[in-house]
Amino acid sequence: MGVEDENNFKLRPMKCELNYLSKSDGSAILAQGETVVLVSVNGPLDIKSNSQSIEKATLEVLFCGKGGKPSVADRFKENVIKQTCETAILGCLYPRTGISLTIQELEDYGGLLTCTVNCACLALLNSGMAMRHMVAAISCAVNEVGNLVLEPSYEQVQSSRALLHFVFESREKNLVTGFTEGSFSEDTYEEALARCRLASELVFDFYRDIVRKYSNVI
Amino acid sequence: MKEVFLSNCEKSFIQKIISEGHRLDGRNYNESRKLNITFGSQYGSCIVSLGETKILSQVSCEVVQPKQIRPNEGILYINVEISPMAAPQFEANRQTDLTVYLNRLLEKCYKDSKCIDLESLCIVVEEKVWSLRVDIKVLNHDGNLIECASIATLASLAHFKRPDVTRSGEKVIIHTLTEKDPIPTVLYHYPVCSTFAIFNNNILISDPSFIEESVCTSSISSEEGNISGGLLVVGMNQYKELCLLNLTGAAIYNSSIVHRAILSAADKCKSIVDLVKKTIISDDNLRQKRVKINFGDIITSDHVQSLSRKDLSICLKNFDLNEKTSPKDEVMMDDESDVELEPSKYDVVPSLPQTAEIKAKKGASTWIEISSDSEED
Amino acid sequence: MKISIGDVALPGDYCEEICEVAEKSKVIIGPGLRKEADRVYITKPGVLKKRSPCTYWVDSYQKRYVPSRGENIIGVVVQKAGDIFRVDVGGSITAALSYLSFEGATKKNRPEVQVGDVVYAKMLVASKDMEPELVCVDSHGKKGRLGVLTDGFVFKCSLNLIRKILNPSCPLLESLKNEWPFEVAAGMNGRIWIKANSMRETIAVGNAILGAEYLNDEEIKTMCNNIAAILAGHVS
Repeated sequence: MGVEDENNFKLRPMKCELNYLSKSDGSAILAQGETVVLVSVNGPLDIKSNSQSIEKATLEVLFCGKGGKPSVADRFKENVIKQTCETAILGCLYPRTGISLTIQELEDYGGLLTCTVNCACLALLNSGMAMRHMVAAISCAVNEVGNLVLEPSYEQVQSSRALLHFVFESREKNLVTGFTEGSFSEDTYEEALARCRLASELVFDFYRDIVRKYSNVI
Repeated sequence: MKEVFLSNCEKSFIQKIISEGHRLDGRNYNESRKLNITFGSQYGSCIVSLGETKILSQVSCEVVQPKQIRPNEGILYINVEISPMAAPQFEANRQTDLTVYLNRLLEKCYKDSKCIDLESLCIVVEEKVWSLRVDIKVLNHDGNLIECASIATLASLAHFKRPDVTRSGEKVIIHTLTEKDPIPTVLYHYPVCSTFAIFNNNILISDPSFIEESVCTSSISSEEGNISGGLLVVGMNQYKELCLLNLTGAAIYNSSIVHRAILSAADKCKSIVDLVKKTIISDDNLRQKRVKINFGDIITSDHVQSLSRKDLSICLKNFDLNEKTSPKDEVMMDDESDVELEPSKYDVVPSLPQTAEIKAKKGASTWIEISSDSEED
Repeated sequence: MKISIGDVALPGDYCEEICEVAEKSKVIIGPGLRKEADRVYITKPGVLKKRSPCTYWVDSYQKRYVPSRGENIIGVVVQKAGDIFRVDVGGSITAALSYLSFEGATKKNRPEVQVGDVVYAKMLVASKDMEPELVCVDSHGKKGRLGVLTDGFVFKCSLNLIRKILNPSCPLLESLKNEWPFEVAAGMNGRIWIKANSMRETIAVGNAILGAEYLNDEEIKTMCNNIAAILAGHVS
């Protein structure tokens, strides 16, 4: 049980542009390595009365793949993102309204879901929606020899034994969402969780840099 | 889908400035917004932006059984999707009239014009043909979706390359991109749509923005009577041959307007096709040099703020946001202020209930300000 | 993360300073701040600001309007429903504007408001659980500057831009008013109504306002001069 080498304790380079779309209330385009995702947020909006909730805003997530017909895998991603973002958004401030989050995949070279969660968080920040905390997603792979690889590339994902995804919140760095594929030992899980938690700091710092960049002009 | 509600003053203002020869964003009548084509890492994926209108197009292919009536032809399928990402008024997973309209126009332009060599997509007659699927996703709707979508379709079809196939007896082998170089799609000609908004039955405006589109299609009951407008879509290829004509909105009684539109579309389509070809060639060259091309490249960090918009929706002619004052301007400002000292210039005092009023005074005007807490008791 | 006044604030951060002041005196926490248990948390990204003595808020970027009491807004009448007008203010639902809340309006003497008209009104009731309600008169029954706006042009912009141009220290309107006469009404819901003598001048005002969004004070002054020069025809 160990890490291949220190270089693996690194995130892929992140690049982001906010307000990419002029018509949406908030939008962000984020590239993590070669994976690129575009997210737009609209809301609070008026929605159909049968999907309104009197206690909190209803979050609608739509994931659009690049091409081809929508699949079950897309619905799964929508669910994960919906649950993650619902904990982050202070929906109780906007009762009987809807918030729609639309995700467009642009390039998928591994880690699409983590990139999507991070991009959704940036789009929510851009929209000025009241949020309880921010979220940062980190993925981790267990390779053939049992070593941990942080933020695996496309090839590394293909050859990995297991994949672990974690989403952390910004207040106490608690785990918000976590799901895994493949088999691994409990120790590996603990190790991966601890490493990903540390790495999430880098993502939160990235968010802060982005906001700092525009905060001096607004 | 909820309609975007336009106020009367927006409608009449747009009508008026257009009849005076201006446009809201400072363009000329026949001037288009800035066109930009970016290709993704895969063959056949591109993002086309026309001003703030942005469309993603992706071509994918699969092997299917051909249709009974055309056993030796491949299939082209175009699918347009407008998600809430385009604008808040759109609903998810719902087909609107606009989607159907766009889909039909694109089919007319690319399927019915027979610009694609469908026979070359055949693998085994009556058994296996390639089916090309074009997915058009509207990312941002700021008017003139059809022109943007048609450029996106054309660019992605021309850019797309399908895997090579070899036949040995009954067996068909599809080679991966690394085994054998993929084959580009054969296009006989390159049709492109361009949109014109018709104002007052007389004025033609190319590449209308969202507000111009909504104003010209909404009927205004004015005192002068029939002010009718509409949208005219002209599809043409690089040989200036007409492929498509479509008119929505009120009917035109003047046939010369169509003629004028076609003449102006011919040059425009030619230049668009040239641009598409040029970008594809430069993209090909980059790929041959093994430069990695990725949609991540559209993310720019060169402007100071990540939020700043490149184009203003309301703009004077010749206005450049990045223009810093030249000394020449400073001098001119001096005589400008001389003129202002004449009190007669500010005769007009609006008496309407507004936040701020201008009072005719010597030189500078004064503001009467109203603060929002003025009536807190 | 712990932050202090003037820092870049992100949702989930908290400010201890506010709690310390709160022990001694009353504090007002504005948009972007929320009290949970014994801490004040940030809910919007931006810059934490303070106004003496003890008012705190976060200056954040936002495009979508959420109604708030007492704000002056610009809305479009979308429907006449019995004795109220439904006004689109850019929020999640339309706001109600009673026909009696105009100056001098009575049951007999109805104000002349058509569907599609632009009104400058004040938010009387704005709560997350209720339909927002507008008025076009102040508490003395006078219309002041509220009411229907005729002619001119309305455009949308971010909520920050409105706050920026209404800020008394912003040089934009100060510089523009010396150049040519115009009228402007800024709604806190991210809509601006402008009107000038000619179409070109109106466009110039809109251009100046939208162009000012990401410029600092010096750049705004330069831009205003540029626009005035273009308008005067010195630059062809």
